[in-house]
Amino acid sequence: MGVYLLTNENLNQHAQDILSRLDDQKKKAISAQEVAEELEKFLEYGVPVKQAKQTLLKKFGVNTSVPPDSVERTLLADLQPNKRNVKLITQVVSINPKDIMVKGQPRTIFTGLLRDESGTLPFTAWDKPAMNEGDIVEIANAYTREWQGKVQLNFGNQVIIEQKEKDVLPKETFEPKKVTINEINPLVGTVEMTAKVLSIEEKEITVNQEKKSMFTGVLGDSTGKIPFTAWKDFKLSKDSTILIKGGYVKSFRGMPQINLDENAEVKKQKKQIKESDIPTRSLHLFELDDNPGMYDVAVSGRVIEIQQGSGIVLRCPECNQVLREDGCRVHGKVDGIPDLRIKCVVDDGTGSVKTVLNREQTEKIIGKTMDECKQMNPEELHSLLNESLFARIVSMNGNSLQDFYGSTFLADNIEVVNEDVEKKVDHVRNLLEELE
Amino acid sequence: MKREPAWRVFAMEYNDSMISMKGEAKMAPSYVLTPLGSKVNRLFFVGVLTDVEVMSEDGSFVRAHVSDPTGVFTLFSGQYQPEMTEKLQSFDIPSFVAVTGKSRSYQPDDGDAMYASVRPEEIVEVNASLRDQWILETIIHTKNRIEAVKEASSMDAVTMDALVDVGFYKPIAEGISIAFDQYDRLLVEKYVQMLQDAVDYISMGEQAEATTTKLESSSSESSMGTEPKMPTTTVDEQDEEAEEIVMNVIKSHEGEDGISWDEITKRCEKEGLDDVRVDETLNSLMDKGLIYEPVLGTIKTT
Repeated sequence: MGVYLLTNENLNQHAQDILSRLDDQKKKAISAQEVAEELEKFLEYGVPVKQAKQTLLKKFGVNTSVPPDSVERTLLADLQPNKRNVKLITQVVSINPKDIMVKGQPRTIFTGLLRDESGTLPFTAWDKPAMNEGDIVEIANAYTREWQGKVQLNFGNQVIIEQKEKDVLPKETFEPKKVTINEINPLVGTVEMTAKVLSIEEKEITVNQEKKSMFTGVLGDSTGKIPFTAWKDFKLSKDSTILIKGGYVKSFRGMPQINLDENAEVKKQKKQIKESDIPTRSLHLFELDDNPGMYDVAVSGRVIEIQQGSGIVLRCPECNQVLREDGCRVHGKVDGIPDLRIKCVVDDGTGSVKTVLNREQTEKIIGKTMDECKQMNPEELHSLLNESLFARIVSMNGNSLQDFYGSTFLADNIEVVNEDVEKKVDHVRNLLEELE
Repeated sequence: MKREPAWRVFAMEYNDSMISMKGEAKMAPSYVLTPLGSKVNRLFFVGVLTDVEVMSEDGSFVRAHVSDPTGVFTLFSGQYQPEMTEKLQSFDIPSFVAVTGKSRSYQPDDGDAMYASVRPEEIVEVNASLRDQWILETIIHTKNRIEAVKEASSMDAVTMDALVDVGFYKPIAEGISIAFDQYDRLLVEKYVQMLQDAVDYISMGEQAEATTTKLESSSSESSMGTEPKMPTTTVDEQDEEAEEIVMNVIKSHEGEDGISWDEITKRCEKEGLDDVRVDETLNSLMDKGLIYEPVLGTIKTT
């Protein structure tokens, strides 16, 4: 058995080497002396120095497989699936917390979008990465997976993030992409677009104890509508048509939005977009599942389930949340305020969406007031809800949101559609002729 | 996690399914894959509840049948959903019902037959108009799938993306990309005919309704007017219906060498015919010369 004993000087050198690669917390927890002793133990057993160091680094939670400096940078467009030790130089376009369930436990992860001169790519981080929107960063020790034929970029606990200057990326990286509203998704990054300001509202916010104005509203073009937030005063006015260069897309509560900050340029356009040319997009329900959130769209389908929690419910007088059997989740035992609602699933055969009808909508559809409903026993009321709504077509206008459990529709209005069977028979007969 | 859509398929297409799929993960959903590429985990249909039968002594397991113009859905509900099992037994027979349910399939160890059934999640009594609406809607959905299968026939490689590119909805494109190589393409013509029959069925119902509604006061009673083939029909019509079911079974499942008597009985039982009835009907079809028995116990169409 060959024994690799080192002089004390060399041993300390190696111990320092190991220490220098630990994070601050670990550095405090262990002394150079202790590291040296552990290292020596391995060496006494004939473990080569290189291996012994690797083993200790691993023990202290440092990724040893490849030192970050020896890895070449990859462009986002060239990333391959199932790679470890990925190194990137990118700008952070967006970063958002996301609540997911892992083995039945809620957990917050972070997702967002990166870009470099080759394109954009979404990422997922299991812990909050040390970077903010707009930062230029070097990311080392990330890894990739494949999901439905696409590359997924992940940051595990080995990831190393370092801030860089803007000039490490070529200029064209920051050029906005020309889009129309129907092409906008959270992956698109910064955009150039022409749109009409359909509404705008000024809001006062306090940032670092300083009062500031921000503006929120809705933009529209010939393909749809999208909400926006302007973080400075671009002197926008309702009904004007504007050219935006360098706005960026970010999801807010699951809905993509245009954000205009000091990097954005806004110019008024002479040629106006007519309001009548701005459509409310009509979608099939499966399309909602493919989009993180849709603003002002029209959908329809049949009610295929009236869910638990429909009918008379009690709400917390403090926070308006629906009470559970043991009271409010936040405020405990309280005197609940009665309300009437229907929670249901609407399905068009291609996809489905959950929606909640409020008191007014429910009363209109079942033809009874909340007070009348209170007189009924819950089973009787549930039957009435089924009778009024189950299997019927409803059409809705509003916004869709997506969460872990699927799509939810926040309906501004909802209507039960009564189809004329006789007319439809003729329509269907004509359609069938196409099959001949 | 996406909620599974409730497919609109007719009983004939659903019952013709020979393929089931299950993901590898522990809680992965299972699917019944129909010949027209519906990848069914959940389905929604409206039809006539024709019978509910208690299958176990303690009443915890029931079987029910819901009929549409093309065939019969078989529903099973057991001890894991006692409320639904009890509810099923509370309906008048016959009545119009709308059902949201999960697909189930059963493959006996012997042979490659598969039986697709439904575990109801919700069932609610509805009116005749909603039933007619469902038929029309399901015709349109089925037509889209037929067109996608036809389109797929002209493709070098049938993939989801290729079908989406020519304008088919993603859920349909996905199902057809899987089903296309696994089913006989000639079946498509059978479903074109099925749709034609279904639309004729409604027109017939409309005429019947026009003559009967005047006589009847409440809307739930008048709904029977749209149901010319249901239990109020005469013995002759019932015979005709049985013949149609048996012929359909034979036509769709006979191979080069015909189909065994036993398999016909099994498949027809699923459509709501008992074995005595199947035997009578087979004899009557042989008398009419529509089928023959090339080998004892095997039937073939002429």
